[in-house]
Amino acid sequence: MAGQMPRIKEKALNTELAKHGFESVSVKRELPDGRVEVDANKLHPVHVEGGETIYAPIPVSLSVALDTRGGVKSIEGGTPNPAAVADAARYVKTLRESGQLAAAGEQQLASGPTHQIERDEQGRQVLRRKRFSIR
Amino acid sequence: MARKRSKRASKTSPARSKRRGKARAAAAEAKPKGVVNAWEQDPGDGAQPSGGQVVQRPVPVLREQPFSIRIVNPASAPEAKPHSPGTADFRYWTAAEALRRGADFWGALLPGTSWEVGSTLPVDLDFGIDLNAFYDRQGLKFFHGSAAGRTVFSGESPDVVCHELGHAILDSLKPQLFDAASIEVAAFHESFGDMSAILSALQLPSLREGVLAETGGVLHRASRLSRLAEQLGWAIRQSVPSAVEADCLRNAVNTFFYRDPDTLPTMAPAMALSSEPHSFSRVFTGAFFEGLAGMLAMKDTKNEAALLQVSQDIGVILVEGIRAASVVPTFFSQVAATMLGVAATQFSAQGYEAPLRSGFVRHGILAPSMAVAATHAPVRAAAVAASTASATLPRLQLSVAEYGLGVPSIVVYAAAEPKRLQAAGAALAVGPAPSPGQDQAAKSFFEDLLRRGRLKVARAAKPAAAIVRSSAPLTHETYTHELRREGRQMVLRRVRIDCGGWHR
Repeated sequence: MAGQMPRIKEKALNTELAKHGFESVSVKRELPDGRVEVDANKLHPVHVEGGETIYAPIPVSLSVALDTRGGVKSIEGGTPNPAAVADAARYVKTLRESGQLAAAGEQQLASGPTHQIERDEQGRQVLRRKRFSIR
Repeated sequence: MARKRSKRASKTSPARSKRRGKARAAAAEAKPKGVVNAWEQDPGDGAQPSGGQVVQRPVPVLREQPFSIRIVNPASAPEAKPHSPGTADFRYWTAAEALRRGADFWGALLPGTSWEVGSTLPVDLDFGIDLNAFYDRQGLKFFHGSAAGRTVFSGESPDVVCHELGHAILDSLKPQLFDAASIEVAAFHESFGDMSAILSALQLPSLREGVLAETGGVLHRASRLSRLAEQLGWAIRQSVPSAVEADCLRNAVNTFFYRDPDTLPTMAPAMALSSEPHSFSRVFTGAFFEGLAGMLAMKDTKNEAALLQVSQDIGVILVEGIRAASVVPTFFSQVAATMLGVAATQFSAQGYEAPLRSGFVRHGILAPSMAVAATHAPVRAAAVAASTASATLPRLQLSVAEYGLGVPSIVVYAAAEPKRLQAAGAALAVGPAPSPGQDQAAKSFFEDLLRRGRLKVARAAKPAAAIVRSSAPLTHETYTHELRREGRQMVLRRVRIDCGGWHR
């Protein structure tokens, strides 16, 4: 099982990478040189209709070098590519037009929406999934 | 790893082993005895809201590992005995049975994995009024709703239960997908839910026997297995007929072909494809189901034991494929390619790669050349090397190295007459679709034959190139074209015209 990381170490890596803006981190494999290949999401501005900017979680891949204490020494990659950003903009449009995006601030989601736009602690409008539905 | 484990096992003292044996016996004693009644797959049958099969199953233990579950509403379990359909007690046990069966199936494929929500997955069987069901990162929520004077409970359908459970399983396997802002990723999550319903259903002996009898052993036919959530589909159809398919919510036996979701409308009636995730998911589910059917068709004996084996093997291929796939906008093709790689390396003796490839190619998820390249790296290199074909009209020399046919190029007779009218199909956005050149048109035609499984491929090239139709008749050939050696060249020749249509 080479390449599998102990769960405790993975948790620490998640915390470290969160400081760099990465979320939903999962370790793909540990490389022989000690670097770790990671899949994650990164919040990135997406320009949707009407000049509005929404931050959406965009899938990225990155490679992380760790120091001896498990801290992040350096990160390679992790920047969303233009195709993924364009995909996110289309996704927001699809959600909106198919009634799956709830209005900001709506406390109790109605039946249809699966997503909502929330304001995070930095004041950004962020697209967040709330649930999956059968239809 | 395995060696370490066996070493440790050999060091186990007889006393310790005795203690373990006692513990196992105690656990077995703690298991409740008896049976409960449950729906086999759904309360509905085809377009009807009732008529589903009732089966008797061992009493499920939800708190057990793997993937421990707790029904939080209702708060207490009714007596574990066979109850009559139409009662709350029956609904409880049919949901519990489906949950345990689905969790056991996925748990065997994902050892050591725990729920994203915590150690136990909470389930609410009646969260309110709606014709729907949810997975959020708190648990599963089911609803009730009325249609044409009948009350429908979404948590009563094993199909719906195992679909929602599938979301929770995939969230445990690849949490990154939950929030990823991507059409194909969201659609894949929905497809996984439907695949979870199909594979969990196949763990029931009665369903395997029933579906084999219903389809005459040709799995790639609409059946109780391919139809998802008949009763809920019926209920929605009463108010919005175009929102669901004619005989269920979604059918895994379909003919949807991949399109860039950017070129699709955001909404469409159920009979058409849109970029809405549930709608778009049907492309992947259709390809998967066709692959599953083709895997069974490879078996010498197509009985329920073979069907069980195939369902478990495709589960392994799917899980490993998802694990290895990069999360990119074209996620469908990523998962498909990694699944082919797993099939080629871990199941080469079973020959699963060819039927899976056929499913993905016939639904457009992988281009034929991509499908070959996914498992045959040398072919990929040859394809790049042989990409400069000369074109001589009206006979065209086509480079086909990338398809794994065993020949670098073939000769085709091209439609080379000058155009009388400047006409083209419409693009979805504005204006006409770009008109392909003659060689491109010929190649499109050839690739189309491959995708539809209409080209007879020479035996020597078969492992790499054949696209098999799992529902093709066994008694006669229905290929429309073949490659014939004429002198020193291979020439594409039509052998028959088949009016059977796409579905075959």
